[in-house]
Amino acid sequence: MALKKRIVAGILVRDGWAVQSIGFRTYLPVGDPAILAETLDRWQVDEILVQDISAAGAGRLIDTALVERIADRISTPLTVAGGIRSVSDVRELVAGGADRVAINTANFNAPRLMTETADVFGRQCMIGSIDVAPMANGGYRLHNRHVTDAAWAHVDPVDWACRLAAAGAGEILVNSVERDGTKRGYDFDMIDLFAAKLTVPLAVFGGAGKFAHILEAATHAGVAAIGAANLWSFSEHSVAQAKSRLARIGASVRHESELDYRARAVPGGWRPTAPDGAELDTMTERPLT
Amino acid sequence: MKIAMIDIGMGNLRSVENAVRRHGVDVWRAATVEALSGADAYILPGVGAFCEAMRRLSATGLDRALTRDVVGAGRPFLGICLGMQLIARHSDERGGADGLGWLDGRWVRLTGGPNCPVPHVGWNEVKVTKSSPLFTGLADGVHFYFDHSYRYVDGSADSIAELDYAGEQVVSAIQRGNISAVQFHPERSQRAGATLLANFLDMHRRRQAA
Repeated sequence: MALKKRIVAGILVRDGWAVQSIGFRTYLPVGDPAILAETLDRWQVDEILVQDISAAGAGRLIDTALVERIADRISTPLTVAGGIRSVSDVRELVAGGADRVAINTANFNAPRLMTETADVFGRQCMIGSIDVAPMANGGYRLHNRHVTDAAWAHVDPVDWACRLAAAGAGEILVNSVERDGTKRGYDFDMIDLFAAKLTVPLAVFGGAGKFAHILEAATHAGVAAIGAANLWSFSEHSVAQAKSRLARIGASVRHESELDYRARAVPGGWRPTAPDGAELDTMTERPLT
Repeated sequence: MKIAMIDIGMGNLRSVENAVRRHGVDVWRAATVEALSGADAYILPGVGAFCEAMRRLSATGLDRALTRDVVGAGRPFLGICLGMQLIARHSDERGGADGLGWLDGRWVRLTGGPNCPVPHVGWNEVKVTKSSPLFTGLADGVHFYFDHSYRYVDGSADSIAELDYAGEQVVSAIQRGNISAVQFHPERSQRAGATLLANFLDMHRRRQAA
């Protein structure tokens, strides 16, 4: 039996506040990250990734008190990222309730960190996270505004991901800088490059703007975890809605919610549609087997 | 009901503590033999390396005290993830180490396969193979969150729930008398996990009342 694909909800935190990110440049406030996490937990998302995007640049670790506050409210696997630079940082976050941690910026400056942390906490705890952007002349490059050394411009992102996996990362998380916040869908050309080379699970982020994008990624070869942030904040029961659709197309996901969303005729024979003509799902209770 | 949660300084104690507390029981961390006293049941959670955990259990004397109370005196026990692995005879992890030896089986590394990566991290459905109060209200095929690289062999007579992972049988839960153990993380398995923890507590609340 294959492992179920994970639906991951990203919560981006900036100065203690959950934000929507658009192209890694514009940030719109959402609210209290702990409330958001609690809601996503109730909607039965498979994993929550809390990422402090202001931590690495400020040279500090994501606020442990915030991690604790989130961890205490949920019973969903929790992954934490933001400013991790040492084994003791990981220890602090795990003690605070993180099940796994993701490291991005520190891998550039401290190439031994992934191995050191994996030795203590196990590979299953460690995620190598990278942000990737397309280049004007084709191909892709690593993106990290805190890494200024020009030498990194020539490092192939796929090679870098493989190096992180070899060093101890039990999973690689790839985020598309170009698609981030655009709602244009995932960059599958980019994803295929990673899927072809990686032997550890691949988690993808960047571009999901509608449930159809989630379905595309969930049925795409080599994708183990489908991530989105903004998408989950746009509609009530968003995770349950997406999972209803995933279950219907036979995707390998966990769908245990008692909510069922599907396009159907409602009383009076009316089939609700969106302004663009697309059929809208309506909610009913699903008998649990 | 009073629960001592064994604290060997490894893993996600906070999550387990919260999950158990939601069921209205008194729970505290026990890092020493003295701190075990007064408990009606023990929970041994854990994330990390087998041999390091055994070293810490042995250094604190908790290994002997737990064996005395659980195997000797029949005190209810729940092992979670690494806590399940530690009660077996042996694990192959990092060159091999002996466990508490309450169960006959041993732990070998998962092989994995296509769409079945190792470590086995994520949600998977388990098949309930033997009726047990631990799974009351949990249907066959219920999903739990897993995070491990080893599987239990040579002792599967005690197995009550399993899953197939790339053709290998993964014992997901064990019940042997007063000893319960789960490979997955109930504290991170949403409603299914909460039900399982409630079942463990109910089993022994009833014993107490009887």
